[in-house]
Amino acid sequence: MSISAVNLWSWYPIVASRDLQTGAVMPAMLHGERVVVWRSREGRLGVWNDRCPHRSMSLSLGSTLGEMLVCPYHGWEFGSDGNCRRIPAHPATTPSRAARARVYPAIEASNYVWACLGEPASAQPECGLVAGSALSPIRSMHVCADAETVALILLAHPLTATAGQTPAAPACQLEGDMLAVTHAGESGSAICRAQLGLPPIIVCKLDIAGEPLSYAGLIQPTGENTAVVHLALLGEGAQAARLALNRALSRLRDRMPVLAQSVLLPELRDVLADLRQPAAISVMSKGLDHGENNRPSRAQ
Amino acid sequence: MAKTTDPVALNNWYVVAALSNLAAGQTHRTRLLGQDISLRTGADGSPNCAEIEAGQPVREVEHIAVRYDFVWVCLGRPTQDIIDIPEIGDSGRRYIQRGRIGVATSGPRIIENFFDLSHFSFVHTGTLGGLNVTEVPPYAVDVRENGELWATECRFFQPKASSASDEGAEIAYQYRVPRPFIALIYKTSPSRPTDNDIIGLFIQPRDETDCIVHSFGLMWNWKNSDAEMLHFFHEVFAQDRSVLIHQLPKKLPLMPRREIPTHSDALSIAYRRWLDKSGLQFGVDREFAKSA
Repeated sequence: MSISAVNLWSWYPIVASRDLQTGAVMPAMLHGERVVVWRSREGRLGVWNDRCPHRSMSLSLGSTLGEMLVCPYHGWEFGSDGNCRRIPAHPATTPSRAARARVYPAIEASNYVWACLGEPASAQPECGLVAGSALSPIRSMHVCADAETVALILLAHPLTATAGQTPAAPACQLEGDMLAVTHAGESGSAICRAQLGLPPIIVCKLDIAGEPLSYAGLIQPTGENTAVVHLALLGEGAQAARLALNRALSRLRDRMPVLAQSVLLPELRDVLADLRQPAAISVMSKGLDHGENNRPSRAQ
Repeated sequence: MAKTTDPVALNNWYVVAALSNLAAGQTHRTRLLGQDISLRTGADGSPNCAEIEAGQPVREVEHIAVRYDFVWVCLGRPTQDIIDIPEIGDSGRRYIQRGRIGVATSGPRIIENFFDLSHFSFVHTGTLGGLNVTEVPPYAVDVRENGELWATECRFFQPKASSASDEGAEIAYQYRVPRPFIALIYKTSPSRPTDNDIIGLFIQPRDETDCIVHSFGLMWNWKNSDAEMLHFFHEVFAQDRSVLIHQLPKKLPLMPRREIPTHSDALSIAYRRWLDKSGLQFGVDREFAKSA
């Protein structure tokens, strides 16, 4: 079982809705594919392959003109269906049907823009973990690790207000189609959950020093060894909490090379490997100490 | 990258320096077709060239020449002479070398952008084109008996065709592509509308997708300083560079349907066919379009 299914049928977060203003054009990456993300004057959303069919120019360097996306090289104008509507060098000519940009399915949900590089398997992003609560975007950050490693790091190291506040001795548990990692200690507790077999979304419930707080980390796989973490509060939260999580994410990025080597990660990977065995998908609970004989074992 | 094995690329002549940039007694190191080379002027002022490996000269380059105040090198066996530019030296035009500019893309992408009329309005807005006149009238393309590719009867309205322009004018253009990595423009001179200014581009392909662009102007212009002329050129070229480095793939796709052309791309279509027929491998992409 994998917690970072990278597939052509799922929706992946690309950008927070608030970061894509009307008329904006921006580049993004998804599974190593360069995409252009844009919003027309009427608010229509587009996620396309970032390439003009004419001379392979990056469309993300172009501009919007009402409901059109305009290539910066020769001014070709593309409608929201990706078809070229106007070639300025030949204003009287109807552009050929071959003059068409590649358009990907795109949708807005929970205050994020989501895209799918293939045929989406569902009408909406499969983010059951965050269903029912509004996501309030805090920040999106590029990190240098593959999506699965990033997801495991977020499970193993909750974002807390102060470095070192993370309660020790995490325990791992399967809850239906979710993997839960509970961190409990004197200062409080943190429960991190990830949905299995779907694009990686990590939700963490913090209860430290009597202050409950929930956040989500939506992971966008950009390349083989790069990803973007879209960090959001679940529900509303005080500005101080947003700031603390923002800083905690910066710390996490800075420590990424160290955390990627953390002993917790192989343990979590082992748990996931065990889950791949059909027999193992039952009740399972195991402490994740660093000792030699504490590898998570299959439940009897 | 090691020296290319493409004979078509190897057997051409390339500019590798302006003669005036080679200081006597100093070694100038550069690269051509993936091969590190060094240039050095001898006591008589004539340059020598050697191929370098592990920092040491290993082979003297046999084919080296000075023409038009540029240093030309061929790393293979030249199948043709250095191109003839009869206008240099026999006219009242002012000859100016315009320096060298690095561009991280293939030579053929740079050449194609150089002879492209339809980008003027969008990339050189206010100088070589304007947003109010974007239409490209039909023009003629032919391959001459000597093998050179030409486009003639081109015209375009330019708000400021050169540093000498006082006002916008309809400018007549001819393009000459004598070699895969060399192109020249003949365009109406703003200060002498019955005659042409000439601009030449000599590409030095360091590697398949990394080039140095050497160029010259041959202009009916005696009113601007060198600095003014260079400023105009550098502004225009910086604009071209900003699009060129964002075209992917960097190697020029030769096969039809990889990129969708329109009428104004007649010269581009002909250039790709002409390159295909030449057998050139270096700096071009010969993959077919993926079936959708």
